Amino acid sequence: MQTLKQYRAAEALERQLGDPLNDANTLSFKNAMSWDEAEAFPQPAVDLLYRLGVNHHYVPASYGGRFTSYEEFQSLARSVARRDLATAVTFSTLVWSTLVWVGGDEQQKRRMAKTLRWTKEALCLAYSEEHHGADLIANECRAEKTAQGWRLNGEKWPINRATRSGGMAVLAKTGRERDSRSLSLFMVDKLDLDPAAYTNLPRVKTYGLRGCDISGVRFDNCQIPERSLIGDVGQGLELALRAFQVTRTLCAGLSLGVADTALRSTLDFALNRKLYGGTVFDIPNARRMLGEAFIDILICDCMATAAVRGLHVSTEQFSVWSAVAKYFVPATLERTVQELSVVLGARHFMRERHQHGIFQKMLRDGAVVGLFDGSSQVNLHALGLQLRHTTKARRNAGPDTARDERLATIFDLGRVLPSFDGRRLDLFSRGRDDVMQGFASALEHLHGLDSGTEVDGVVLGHLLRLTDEAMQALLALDALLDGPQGRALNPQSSQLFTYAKQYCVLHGAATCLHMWLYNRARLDGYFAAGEWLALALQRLLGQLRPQPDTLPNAYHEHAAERLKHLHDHQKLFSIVPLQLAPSHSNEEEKHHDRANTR
Amino acid sequence: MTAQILAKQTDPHGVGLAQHEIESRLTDMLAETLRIAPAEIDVSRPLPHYGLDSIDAVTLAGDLEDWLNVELPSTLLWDYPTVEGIASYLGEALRAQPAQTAHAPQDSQGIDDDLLDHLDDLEPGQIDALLDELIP
Repeated sequence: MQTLKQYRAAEALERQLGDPLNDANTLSFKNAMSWDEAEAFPQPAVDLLYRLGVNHHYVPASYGGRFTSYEEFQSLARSVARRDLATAVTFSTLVWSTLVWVGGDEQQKRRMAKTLRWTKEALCLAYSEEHHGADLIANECRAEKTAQGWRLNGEKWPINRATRSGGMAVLAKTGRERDSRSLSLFMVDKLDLDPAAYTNLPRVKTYGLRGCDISGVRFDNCQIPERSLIGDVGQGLELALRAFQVTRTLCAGLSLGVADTALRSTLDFALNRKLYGGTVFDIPNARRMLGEAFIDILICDCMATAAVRGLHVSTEQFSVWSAVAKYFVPATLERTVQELSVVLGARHFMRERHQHGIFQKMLRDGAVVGLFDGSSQVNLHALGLQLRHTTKARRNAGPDTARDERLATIFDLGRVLPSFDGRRLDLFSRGRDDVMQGFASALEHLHGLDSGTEVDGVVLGHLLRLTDEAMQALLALDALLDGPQGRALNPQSSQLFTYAKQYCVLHGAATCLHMWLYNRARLDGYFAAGEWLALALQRLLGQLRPQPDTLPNAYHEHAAERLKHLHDHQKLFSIVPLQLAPSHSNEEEKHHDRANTR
Repeated sequence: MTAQILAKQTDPHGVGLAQHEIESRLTDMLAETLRIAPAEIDVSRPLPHYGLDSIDAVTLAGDLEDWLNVELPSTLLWDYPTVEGIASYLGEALRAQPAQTAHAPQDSQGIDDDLLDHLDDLEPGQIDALLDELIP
């Protein structure tokens, strides 16, 4: 099967980066571990990504860059993340250019494009302050208008790449009031600054991402030029929240990279470790756990892929959709990796030996994804507040051909996406959520499938039963939210967080169903057969309440076999199993690829 | 920001509501969100003083949309952070564009004709608004 066009860049990057198990490669597990142990900044890896031109993917094509879609963009980030999350998180601070693409003027966009394409000046996001966390309005760092521009005073901490960056996106108070229009956003170029007017704050020691430059900055009457201001005075929070809708969505790809390595590393061990006259993989329970981790990855893969495609199509809905993706995917995969540690046993606790101890590093590093760019709690709160509106909008939504068309564009992976238009990002979705509003029509579609010819009758029976259960759960959640009890919920109520989690689970169920329906004829036989979907739905429903395993054991066995097949052929654990770097080092091939990329 | 409704609902409510009626309904909605008595809310005091955070304010704009059946800027309450400010914005917006919001896809002349055809079905407030529109 030919690789979908949007994944060819990731396959090329895979070949260029090479097998992470080959110690000679820059982005090898061995190097990633040694940087981590030394708490050293992964400079060689960052340099390599620049040499390979990955920075060009952060710049829209209209500004001379190579960005085509967030789907392609995410697949590249995932390839880096599966090798070393510290490198991925360090390099991906370039994504804060989103603030300029979304809110900057023409000149600012041109300048940003130039910086990203032709220099190695990195960016950092200077929002957080030591005493205020996610409470951005309480920030104390202040910008005062001067004759030449603005004067900054205050501290930002902890900030990833604060010291080792050339540009800083600084959110600063420009209003006196403690309100939503009291903040403005500045893209500060360090070259414009008097070196005496700012100080880098020392690096902080962290649990994971130990090589990252997580430090801070202090401004003392620091003069910045007028052109630093992005958007209007008072527009800072609005721009910050709109750009977060993009970057939060992209976080899913980082978690998927981590989970891929955690599972691949564990599986490698399970296949080779001899115990009781067989391998760990021969033990039914171990095989079951590996298969379940694989299904978790497929669920999150569907959610991440749909969301990055959705950014181009249902852009106005991302106050809901980004919160679902940012909460659900990191939280689910963090638990998946935790569960895999049981299969890996004592080796998961070692900082050496099996694959240089990469598993424990992935476990530690991966835990950060649920924290940054708005924590799980921040996202659940933002989602919870909108649930009454999504419920109402869904109840009032009848058949809608425009929505069907949007869903087809999002989910049919063969369709070309329209260009992303950041101006359409909105802080409130007005209850719109195409994935959930289209759930009922997806069920109709499923009911209309011909048992036996289009899909195996037994599989279809399970899918009908499980999707019906998901729909019942959604209606029950609607009734709770719409009833007197739901309407009386305090915006800070912990119950609202629970409802938001349940909504995410059901969003996952609807997403997997849409993905299958739209791509049965496009993707491979394992995808088309639908057993994975039945397993995924059962696993999702199990998060709502305990479920007996009602699926044939063969489905679990086939999942484990599929997993082993992808592993043996160096394919990504994904519904689109793109070709990873070959496990042998072939220098000629590498040179050939490098010559072809620029 | 000029007072305007972004959207295109077929049946806006609240057209022609008096300023004090909008204020009173707004105060009730806020009191419910903030879990305080309506009497505690001063219409001229900025809402962040009552603990309304940025995201709550965006959601509340959504509640206003539901009530009035119109589409409003998500950041309405950021730009008009007091009850009287919001009410005056809404009053002005609803007065300014009742016809357009009622029948967005049509051109304005056609809309007026259409409304005039159904004069008997209109609420007194809508008639007032229509008169305001027709007699500048």
